[in-house]
Amino acid sequence: MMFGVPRPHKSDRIAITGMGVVSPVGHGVTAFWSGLIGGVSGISAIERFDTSDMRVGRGGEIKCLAGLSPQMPPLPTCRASQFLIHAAVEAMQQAGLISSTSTGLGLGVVIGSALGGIGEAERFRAEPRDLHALAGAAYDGPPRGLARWLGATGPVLSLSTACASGATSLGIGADLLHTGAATSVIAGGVDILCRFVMHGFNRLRSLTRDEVRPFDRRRSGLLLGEGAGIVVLERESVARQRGVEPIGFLRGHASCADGSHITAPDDEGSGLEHTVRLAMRNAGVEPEQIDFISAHGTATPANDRVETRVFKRVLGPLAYAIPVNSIKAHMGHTMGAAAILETIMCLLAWRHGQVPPTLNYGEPDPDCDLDYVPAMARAHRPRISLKTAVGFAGCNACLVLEGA
Amino acid sequence: MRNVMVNRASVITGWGAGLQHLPPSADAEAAGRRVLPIPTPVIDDDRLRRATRECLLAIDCVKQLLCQHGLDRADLSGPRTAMVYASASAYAAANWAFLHADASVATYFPYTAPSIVPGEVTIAFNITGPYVSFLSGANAGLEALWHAVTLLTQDQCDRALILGIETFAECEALFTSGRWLLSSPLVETALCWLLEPHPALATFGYAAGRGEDVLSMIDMALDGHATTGIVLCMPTLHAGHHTRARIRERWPTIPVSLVTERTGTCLASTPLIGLLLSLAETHHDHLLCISRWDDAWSMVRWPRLLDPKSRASDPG
Repeated sequence: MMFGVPRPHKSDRIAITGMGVVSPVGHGVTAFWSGLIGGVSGISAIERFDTSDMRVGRGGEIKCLAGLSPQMPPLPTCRASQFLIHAAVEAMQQAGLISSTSTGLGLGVVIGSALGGIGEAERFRAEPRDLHALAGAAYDGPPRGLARWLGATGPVLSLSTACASGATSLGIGADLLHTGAATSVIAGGVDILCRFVMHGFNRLRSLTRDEVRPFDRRRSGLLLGEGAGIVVLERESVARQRGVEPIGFLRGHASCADGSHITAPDDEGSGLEHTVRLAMRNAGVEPEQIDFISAHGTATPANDRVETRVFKRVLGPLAYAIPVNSIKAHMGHTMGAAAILETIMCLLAWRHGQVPPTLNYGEPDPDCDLDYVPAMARAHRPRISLKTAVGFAGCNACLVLEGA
Repeated sequence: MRNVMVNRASVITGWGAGLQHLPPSADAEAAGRRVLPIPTPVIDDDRLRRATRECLLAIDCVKQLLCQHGLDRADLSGPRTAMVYASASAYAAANWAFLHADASVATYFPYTAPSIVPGEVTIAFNITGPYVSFLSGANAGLEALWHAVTLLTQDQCDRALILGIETFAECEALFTSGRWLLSSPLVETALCWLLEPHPALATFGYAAGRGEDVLSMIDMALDGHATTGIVLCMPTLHAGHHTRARIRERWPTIPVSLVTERTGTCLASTPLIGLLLSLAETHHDHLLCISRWDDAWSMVRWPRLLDPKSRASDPG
């Protein structure tokens, strides 16, 4: 345990030294990237639970999880915890932390989620005598499961900014490092598909019966997905001292409120605009330095229009020259995992010199008139990326990422 | 350097509005009642027709804060006010109701999101600054305090509104099923605490971790820092008594208050109430506030200002 003191100045850059993915388009970073670049769709008929009473029964469901090494401890029953553990093991292996004798010392865990342990709540409802399921049903159930499995001894924080949670968790993780309350942080997001959330979005009639078409004139809503994304955050000096080369840096972040409506974005996008400007200010980045935008891009009529407006207001005429994509057509909206999976995509785009396409984009919308990387992946190496995320209750988040 | 002062707070619990209603012994005062609810406030606003009780409690609590301290909505509105929310329970009723509702229309789905509680407050008071919800069980209160101080110190906002809501009445059976985790009585809480920067305050510290012995953690916290009071918040009284005895044995001169004895179980709000109580009732200069949830500890070092202008105003 370390005592952290908030400081006005950030003395060290926050390095990303490991990444891990569980997603509908691939398990593991390599498969995830191949799926994104190859235009693979992870959308399919949902098989894990009954959707026959719903308008839409498709989504980005993960059909099976590859096994972990037999030397590792058994996985908990909770599906969200399983996703987190798989992603965290991959990220920690890349960061060179998994085999270290000091793995747990000062290791913090910060996990964002829109749904928390709701899968366990469904299990408890079916098996009311299963008190383990009840204990795991809290929002902090999956992060506690992850921390226990890893033997992490630092802070374990569970947070929610609804579907922006994955982005906010990185910001909070960076703050833990800046204030000295942890030496390294496993930060990320998770959510699972279950009847609870499918039923909820079904009732809101937010789910499309068509394809998910971000920024397209024909867009008619989203599909849900599930997954987890994890990154390892460390102060740059600590990473280099360990002999680990950073993959990239979290230059700046912000999570702010819209203060306007519980589900719809503010039509002018003023909350999102403030969030993006604050993140850029914190990063010390000017509009001409932005090479790429990973949009929230849910394919709902309002979200995509508002995001486009905000990008144009913040970046001015430069916005037309910056590629913008959304990967939600590949795998559905993975809620708490979405922003962290998209963050990992930004860093992979820098590494591989390619930007994944916005699938199913075909007909331009006059309200959405930026370059959305249609049809196929594009050769482009974005050093500095903006990642935006939006959630229920007027939650906005923005990350400024830099490839190393 | 921007440092932080305790400024204004409003506390409503199942015992009544204000800290003065907290009994000496929650267990004895509850007399067998397992839940002490807060009556649902009536808020005349059509926008809130589908809002859950937690949202109404939160909005009412912030209104009380404004009323008690002569502030108005404009004092909170805008991008320079942060909203930092902490709760361990306030999402449970809505989630449980929706889970059981299936095809009926019991709960409007967006109200199952925990962030909807602070979200309704941001809408009601036009708060558009930094915004996050901590849901790490009973440790979430100290996490919220750490984050609020960090935001202020790093000039992300001019004031931070910490909101703590805990509710139990609608799903009492759910919480009493987990009775090995929580002591009775379960006491509903609506708390808000407005922090503003103040240059006179010395260092604030935060630490958290799993699996370590609390005495070695306190050792580290005390190292080189004067501490004149320890505020201890535990989810069960049994564990609280045991831990307090160990601390007293090791540091017999430092007063240790087991807040849970007075409050009952208020989960994430307990340490915030404990700090406010100590600041209002005692003359301790430097406080160490400790909370526990499952196998994780959270700890805040809160140096108190002696300047009367920076003292906690009466949160009652």
